[in-house]
Amino acid sequence: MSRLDRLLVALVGLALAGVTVLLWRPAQQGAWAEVLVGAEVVRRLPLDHAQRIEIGGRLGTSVLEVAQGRVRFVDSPCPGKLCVHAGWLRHTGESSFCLPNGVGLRIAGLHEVYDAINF
Amino acid sequence: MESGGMMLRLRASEQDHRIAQLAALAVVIHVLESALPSPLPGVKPGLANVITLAVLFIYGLRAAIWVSLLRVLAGSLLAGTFLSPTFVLSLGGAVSSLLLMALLSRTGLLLAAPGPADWRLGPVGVAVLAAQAHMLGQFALAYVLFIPHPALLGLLPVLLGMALVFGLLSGYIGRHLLRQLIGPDVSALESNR
Repeated sequence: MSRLDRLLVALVGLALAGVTVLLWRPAQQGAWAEVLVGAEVVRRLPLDHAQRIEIGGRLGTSVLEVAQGRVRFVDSPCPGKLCVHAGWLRHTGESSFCLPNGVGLRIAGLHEVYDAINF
Repeated sequence: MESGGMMLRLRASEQDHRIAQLAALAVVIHVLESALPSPLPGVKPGLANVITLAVLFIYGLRAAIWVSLLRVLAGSLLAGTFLSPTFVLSLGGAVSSLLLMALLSRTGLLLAAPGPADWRLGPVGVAVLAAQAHMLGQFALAYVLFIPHPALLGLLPVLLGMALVFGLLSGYIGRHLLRQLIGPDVSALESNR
């Protein structure tokens, strides 16, 4: 590598560090969780207030729990329990849905992020 | 009217053959690479550009433009992405890095030009800069045409970081390739074009 090569690679590295400091946003801590029944938002749960609530759906009762700034399905009357296995949700854009029961959980906040980008 | 009296004869020079061969090689690398799964949308090693890089140093800017654009065109036809968003982004990246190579070449900054070698750019420097130009051009195009949302800017550090890593990789491979093709002294090239 010539001297100019080394200089320019170093400059690119520095510029990259600058761009990173300017633009990098870590995953946003969500502010509240939206509880959906069907397509309707029926409740907003602030994530800083620990509680356990029951939401009635098509099949029965889904149990939700808020603790330490995060939220999860504790139980739901569905065969697969995919919503329960999704575990704790904490960042804006994360979601978990119990489709059989028609109950959903979505984290919202001031900065929405994408859940997927496809080219 | 007598037909057949006129015959257009295209004489392909040895260099034309060389460029076609190298473009074909780049197409093969391009297609093989597009079969690999990508960890992130828009991130690919871009190793076909090693060929463009070597051509730039050995045959000069014109040949590099031919090889790069032929690679984008033929590669998209083979991968079935011709005129799709993938093709637009691919072409945008190629044109951006070619513009940068043109700038370096015209200002005599390439190691192949005469002058003190210390202040010329070798394959590694060119590859790193071209990779950044490629990614920035592609990103600008994606932003304007497909996803004009500020949140996309958050991806830029990651994408440019990957471009730096893969630019260095391509540069070192290109340097090795140039050594195999023309010996260790890249700066002895000025008489070759």
